[in-house]
Amino acid sequence: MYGQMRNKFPQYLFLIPAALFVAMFMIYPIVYNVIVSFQDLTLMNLKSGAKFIGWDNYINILQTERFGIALKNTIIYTSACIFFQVVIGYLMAAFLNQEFPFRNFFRSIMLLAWMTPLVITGSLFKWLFDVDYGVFNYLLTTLQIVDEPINWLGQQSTALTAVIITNVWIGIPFNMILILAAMQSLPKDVYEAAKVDGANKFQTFLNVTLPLLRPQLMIILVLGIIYTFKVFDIILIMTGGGPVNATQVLPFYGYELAFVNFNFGESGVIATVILFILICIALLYLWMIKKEEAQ
Amino acid sequence: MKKLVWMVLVGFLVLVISACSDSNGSGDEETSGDEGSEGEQTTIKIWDYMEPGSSSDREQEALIEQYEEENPNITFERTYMPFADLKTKLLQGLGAGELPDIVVIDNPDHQSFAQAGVFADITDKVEAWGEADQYFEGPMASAMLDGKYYGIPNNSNALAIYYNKTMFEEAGIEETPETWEEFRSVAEQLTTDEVNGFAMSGVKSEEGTFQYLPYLWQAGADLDSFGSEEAKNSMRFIQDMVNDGIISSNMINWDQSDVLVQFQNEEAAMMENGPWQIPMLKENSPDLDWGVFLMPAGEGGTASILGGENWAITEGAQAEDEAWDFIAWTQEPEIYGPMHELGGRLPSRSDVANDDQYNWAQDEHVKVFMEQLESAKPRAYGTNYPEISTHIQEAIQRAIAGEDVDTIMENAAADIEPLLP
Repeated sequence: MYGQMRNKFPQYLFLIPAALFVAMFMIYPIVYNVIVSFQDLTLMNLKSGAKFIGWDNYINILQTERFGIALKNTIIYTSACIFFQVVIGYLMAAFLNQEFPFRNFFRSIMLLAWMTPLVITGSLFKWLFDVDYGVFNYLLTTLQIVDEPINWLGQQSTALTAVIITNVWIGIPFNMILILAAMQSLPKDVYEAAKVDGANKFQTFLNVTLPLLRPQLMIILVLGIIYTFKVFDIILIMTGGGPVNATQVLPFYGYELAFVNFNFGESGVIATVILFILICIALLYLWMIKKEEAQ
Repeated sequence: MKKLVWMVLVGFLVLVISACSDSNGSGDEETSGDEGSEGEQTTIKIWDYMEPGSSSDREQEALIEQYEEENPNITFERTYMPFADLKTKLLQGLGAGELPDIVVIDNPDHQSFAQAGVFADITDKVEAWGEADQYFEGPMASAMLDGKYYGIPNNSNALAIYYNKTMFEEAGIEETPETWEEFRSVAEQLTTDEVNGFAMSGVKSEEGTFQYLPYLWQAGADLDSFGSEEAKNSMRFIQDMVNDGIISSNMINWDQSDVLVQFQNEEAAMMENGPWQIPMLKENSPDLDWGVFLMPAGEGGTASILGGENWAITEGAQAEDEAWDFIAWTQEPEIYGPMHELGGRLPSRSDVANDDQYNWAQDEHVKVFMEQLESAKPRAYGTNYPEISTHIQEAIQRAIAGEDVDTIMENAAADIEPLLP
């Protein structure tokens, strides 16, 4: 055992840079954040150092109405975005998996939406949704779907929907590419077997494609949930969490607490809650993988 | 093989270490060399949020250039950061112990950051300088905490009402409104299918609070009476105008630049805005015939809000004395006057303000703002003000969205009360 370690030692040495990086830029901030969430750290004692106040920050924050709203909005946002991104992404992938001229061109051009920086997409959609000059309202009113232009981002009933539509648009291409890659690695013979057995398209999808894609779909879902849960840029650009609290989400609430109200302790609580939820999702994923491997 | 791995690793380490020490070494040599040849060469670091290309940016650059010419032993290192980032950067700097020497800060934030220990107490310097009594009360108060000076005001601004003269003529309005009733009826007259009578900002940021507070004060209320009947009247005044289509409900998303765009495109006949938009209107909308009048008076008389920037020196600044010399120099009337004219800003010093040779005594629009400054109140609500402001923003947004004003104001008052000093 000892000898084996000795032989492997240089190899571990190569891990040091990466390990140091992770420790300094990932683990230390996370640990520090959890510590801060138990302190009454504000702008006033940032320099002198803060006191530990136990669970006070957690009790304060978890009781506020805003936290409930933010948590609810984050969950609605994440599930709606992921659902539509994956479903539409799957349909597009199925379409682009067929043979037709310029297929590769269309595949790559689809990715443009995902490659555009969020700041740009967010500003664009802000204008598209505008009540006075917006293209969406222009289309809806000229097609006489609605009589009055809808103030998408300016009223509480539609603001979150508008932001979700934006993010779905951004996320489709990425999901499509991942699903497309997974589809192309599927064996052809099972499809032939299904055809021989007389399965129709829908049955093939349900009993062949879906089970075969399951592992990849799981990864796409988990990564997507983690990525979408951390929504921040779009909210900042499009609504600032408003109107009132209609698009208030957890990461943005944490930002507001820290950098607008300068209450770092309470902001730390939000960050810790987000971390906790994401760890749970990741653990759930690991458990499912393990179960699958055991089968 | 194992030996080779070790050699590569060791070689890599040596490279890294020598690279680090090398850069440090040459850096030291450079500074010591400078000191030897030119006596005392001092660098003053400045952080500000004067947007590149704006008129205030022009002023800042001109100040630095002229001072460097007159004082060859001083060099400046100016860093621009967007308005919202400056505060975050200051916090990071405070945590890391890396602050600049001079900061230009929005005056409502001055007290919070002074309390946090970001700014140095420069009472001795200000008293020795002896010109503090030349400044207007409101701006000076914003740079002070517990009777001590943590900076000095540089420029002031206030909100007033811009109006489209052509539209006024077409609607047959001859007098500019002076009271809430007159204002409301004029705005109603100006409202058509295409044009809103009035535009203001209700965005979820400090700008929204900035634009609403004048009405609160005009109604005769203040933040400590946010749930009072007067305060409710002020919110109702705005809500009614939104409900009746005089103000677009889209104000909920507009910041003050968006409000300007509405006015420039003749989508709004009147707007609430500050003097910094005067150069913008003159340059970008030369065909527009516009004027400015004072904020209307409510039950509690007329009132506007004081904005502006202050100079501050940071705690533990390396070049504290040089920084102060520079700031004091910028405040000399013969520098201060022309430079503020260049920057399109209004003076905070009464001697310069009363000097007839500058545009604030000559330009008809700027003159209105100078008059408005007299009734402009500072946002001096202690160190919790940023959080108080978020509650006000929420109240505004709820009102625009059509919720019941009584409930909104009473809830907001309950949230604000414990945060007041």
